[in-house]
Amino acid sequence: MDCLSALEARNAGRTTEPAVAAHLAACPLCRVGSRSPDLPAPPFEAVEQSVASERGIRAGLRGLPTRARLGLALGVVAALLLATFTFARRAERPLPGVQLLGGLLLTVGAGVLLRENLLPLQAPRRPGRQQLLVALGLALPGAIALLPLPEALRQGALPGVAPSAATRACLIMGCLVAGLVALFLRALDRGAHRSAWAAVTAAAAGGMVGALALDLHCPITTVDHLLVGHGSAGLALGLVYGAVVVALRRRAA
Amino acid sequence: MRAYVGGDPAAFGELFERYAPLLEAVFRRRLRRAEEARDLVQQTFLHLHRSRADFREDARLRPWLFTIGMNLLRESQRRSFRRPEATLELDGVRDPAVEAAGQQRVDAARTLEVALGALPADQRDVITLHWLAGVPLPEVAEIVGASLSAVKVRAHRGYAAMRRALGEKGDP
Repeated sequence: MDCLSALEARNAGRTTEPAVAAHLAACPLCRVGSRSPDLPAPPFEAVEQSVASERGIRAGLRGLPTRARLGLALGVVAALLLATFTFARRAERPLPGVQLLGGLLLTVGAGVLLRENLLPLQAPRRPGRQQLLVALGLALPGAIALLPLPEALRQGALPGVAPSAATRACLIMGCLVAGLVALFLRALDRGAHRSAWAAVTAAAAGGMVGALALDLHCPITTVDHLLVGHGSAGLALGLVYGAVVVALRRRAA
Repeated sequence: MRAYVGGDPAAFGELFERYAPLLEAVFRRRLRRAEEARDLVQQTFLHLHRSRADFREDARLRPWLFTIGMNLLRESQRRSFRRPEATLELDGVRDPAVEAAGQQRVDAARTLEVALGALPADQRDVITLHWLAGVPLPEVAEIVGASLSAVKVRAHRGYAAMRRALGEKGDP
């Protein structure tokens, strides 16, 4: 009998079978692995205190079922987009097909990232390599968006508005919307906020919602402006969020 | 767990009594310091409390709880920027059965822990849960989020590697 079969029999409670008992008694690997039934329980008081301190709005929010938390996050995103749409400056849509497709992609992307961010801890996590690949995939478009930065700061597309000011204004507004989304996600977080994956998904989801809001609001359609002013909010927020997470970790350590 | 979700606070203490020692034993095998393991047990139960509204009536608690614990363990190890190391010092795991059997067996246990630390992460998770915590393979598959056949392959390879390591060290 091999170790795998013997330990599986042990785990199923079939330790009295002669072959299993003989293997468990003879094999040093299985013998050491056998757990001690008399291991004392760790102190319960600290857990009791932590649970007792779970009060207030934030505790109420993160104690909600995952579906309700996701619904709330989607509600906040919809409210932000509706507010932007209500106060939109934009009247014309020169490339409706392309913009519709872009908007659709951003909506789907933001939805997937919100779901990923609010994934409960009792769900198995993706392997680190997969997470790294997704993070690089999210960072790459943001980094590419910054390539035409010098050009975007020079050219003007909105009469009466300095080009650099327009680009900066859009970047700030995008980051503001993205920041609100990330903050709300943080409030719904059950404690995984210190993980880099949570920071990446929150920043990217916020950035996508920010880009969507700007798409509803901003009338400038030059590629440079769209890339720098609208497209890089997620990356900008991600960098800030990443720095904050690293600082918090160092402080906690 | 159903009683706790239903509003019985005493049930939480019973859950802790039943599962905390097992979780702590698993964490101690994977972390260098006993305090870290204890802290992680506390975090696991705090997360269990926060997630209680997600618990379905037909779900099994052990894989649910161990998934939370293993996710926290992975995150903790990632945060500390180091490879999971075997507990070379005896403040890590104290297995009374092993200690009572004498120094030779303690050495064997150390060898096994080093071998466990040398396994790839996916095999190490499976072996830790199956070997040490006594979790059956179908539940291990639930916890690590892989198919049962994939988990069996990982377990088979992991045990083979550990037996090889044991043989190379000349243990009994």
